[in-house]
Amino acid sequence: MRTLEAWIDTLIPPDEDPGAREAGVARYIDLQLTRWFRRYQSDYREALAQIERWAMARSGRGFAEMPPEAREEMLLLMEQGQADRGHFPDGGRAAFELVLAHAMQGFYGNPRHGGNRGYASWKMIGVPPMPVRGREHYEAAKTFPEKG
Amino acid sequence: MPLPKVDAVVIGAGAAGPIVAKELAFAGWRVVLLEKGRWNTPADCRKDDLRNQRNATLGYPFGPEEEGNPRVIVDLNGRERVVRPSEPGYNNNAFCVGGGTLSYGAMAWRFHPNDFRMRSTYAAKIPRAFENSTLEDWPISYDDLEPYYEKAEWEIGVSGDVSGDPFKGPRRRPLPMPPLPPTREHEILEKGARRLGLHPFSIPMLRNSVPYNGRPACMRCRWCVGFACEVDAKNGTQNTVIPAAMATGNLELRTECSAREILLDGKGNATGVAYFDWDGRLWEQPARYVVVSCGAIESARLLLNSRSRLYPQGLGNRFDWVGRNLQGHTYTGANGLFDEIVYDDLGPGASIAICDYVHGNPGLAGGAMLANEFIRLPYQFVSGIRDPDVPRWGRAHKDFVRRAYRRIIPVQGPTQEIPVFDSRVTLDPRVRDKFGIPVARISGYRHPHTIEISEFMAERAAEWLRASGAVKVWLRRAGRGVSAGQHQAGTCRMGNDPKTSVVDAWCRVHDTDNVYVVDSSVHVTNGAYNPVLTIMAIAYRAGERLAREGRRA
Repeated sequence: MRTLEAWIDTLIPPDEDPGAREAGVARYIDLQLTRWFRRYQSDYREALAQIERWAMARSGRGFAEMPPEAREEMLLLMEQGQADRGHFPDGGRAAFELVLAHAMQGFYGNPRHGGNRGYASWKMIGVPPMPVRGREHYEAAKTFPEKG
Repeated sequence: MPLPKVDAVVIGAGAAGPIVAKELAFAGWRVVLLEKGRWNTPADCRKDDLRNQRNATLGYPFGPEEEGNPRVIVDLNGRERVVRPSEPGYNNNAFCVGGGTLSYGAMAWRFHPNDFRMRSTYAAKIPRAFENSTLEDWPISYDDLEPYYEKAEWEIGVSGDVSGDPFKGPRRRPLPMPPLPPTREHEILEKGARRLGLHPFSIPMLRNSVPYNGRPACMRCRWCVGFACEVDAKNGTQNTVIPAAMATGNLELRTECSAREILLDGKGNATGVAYFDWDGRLWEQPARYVVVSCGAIESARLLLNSRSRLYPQGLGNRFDWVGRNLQGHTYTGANGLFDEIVYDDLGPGASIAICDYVHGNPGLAGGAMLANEFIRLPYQFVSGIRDPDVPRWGRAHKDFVRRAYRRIIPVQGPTQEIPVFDSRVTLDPRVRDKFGIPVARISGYRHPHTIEISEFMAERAAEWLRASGAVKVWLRRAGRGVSAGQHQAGTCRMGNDPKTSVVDAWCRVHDTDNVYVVDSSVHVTNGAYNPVLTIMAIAYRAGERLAREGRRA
């Protein structure tokens, strides 16, 4: 779980708004792996084990212990399919795309699926978290602060 | 097990079937309407951005179910793959009562008069659009359909104001409801269009802008396209013609019933339909008439699966035209980034259109209507709209989403497709669905001229956005693979010559007395607009004629 959280937090880092870890994106992935994404369970197990080993081989530290820049560098290599082929036979592309898609879903999707805790991302982009009904809408648009 | 004989059995409760069923039921016919999916209600609007008909990350709420309904898709390199409904390439349309009309965006376009006569309009001027294509005139004209467009607009219910569209075909009556008030995007784009000398106006929509037909007005939430309407303000067959037809007492709707084949007699006419119910039990429904209305992929599949001694290659397929000319709409356009906030969170989002480029584009056989897009839910935005200069993840990506979400307007349109004989639906020789019925196998490609038109349209969208004040614009381009999706059409072409078409001008399958295909399958070409109102108009026309001239059981 720590490795996964470090991974998704590199994809969606915290700044003035919460990052993926704080927004509960790992929980989204964890939940969906028992439901809709059951078929990806072994892919995740393998990807997390391999990135951990690759991190140890590169820096002598676990992936989660590395500084953000070093984690970014590793994920960038995976995105380009240039990760160590001893750990990722395809250079890391498939594992990278899998986690990227799920991280974005968990961060920007509806909280009912386990991620986007407290509507973190919707608050960030300035969309009222709950659907506002009927004519109240116009009033809500006035009171909901528009971020610059 | 055979059931009591009825006057007509209609297969598929989507945009077209229920309209035929209603016309027949009102004429006193006993009608059975079979639907593969369930009957959902407004309470089934779950407002789930990861599980809706537009985004199937976690599956489709309105069908088909993920398991037991595979298709096979063959890509441009000839590689084939078995796809589940939520996977790319499936070309899904909803499987439920109302079909796509339960959860669509509900644009209610009439085709342009020239959309029905593509050969007459372009054969002399643009010969390259006719190379390796099956571009043809329809056997019916805009004028033939005009009264039925009007009937659909008033019976199902359309709001909007098309009086500002100088390119439209002649019409006798205005739309029954006014448009919704403009959104911020609408106002921005209207100024830009006027600056370019274009003719913007309010999109006609199958959506209540005021109370109509006993249901309320749109509450303007953002959960529109892809969702059932929570307040039932979106008008589809499930909340109009189906309840009206059921109220006559003449229509029986059977949900979760999947047709296996049309049963044929020795002369090649239908005697009824064999179908599986929700428990997997096989039934036979005898009927005087059979109306197939399952959408372009499933209607073709059902005909191909209905074989007899006379039709060893499938019903209506004597000249190998069933399943051919599969087409949809190639959507292209542009995204414009603005300095100011353009998003006002007012649904449905899509609001303004131009039809200046539907026909008459220099050197091109067709064009497209252009409109702004429906509200982008946050994950849709992230997965679908990105400045190509921004990385896909990390600090810069998050910054982009935060800054740009409320500052981007997408404009796009459905390009008139040039039909291709080799883009088609066949039966897969191996893969079967959960009932053991051979599944649809989809193969083909887009005609190069379709791509050419769509590139031109993307440039026009970009121009419109720049004139409206966008500080940065990037294009959305077309793919090359076969196009079908929700706007799937063309697989049972309408025509006067049985050698080059499947049904006649009244949707009756050539060589049969009593089998009809009534849905987008019969479209010769698919127009430069969303096709649903045309599907409805054809259904009213075919249904009215059958009710008048058909002989009951």
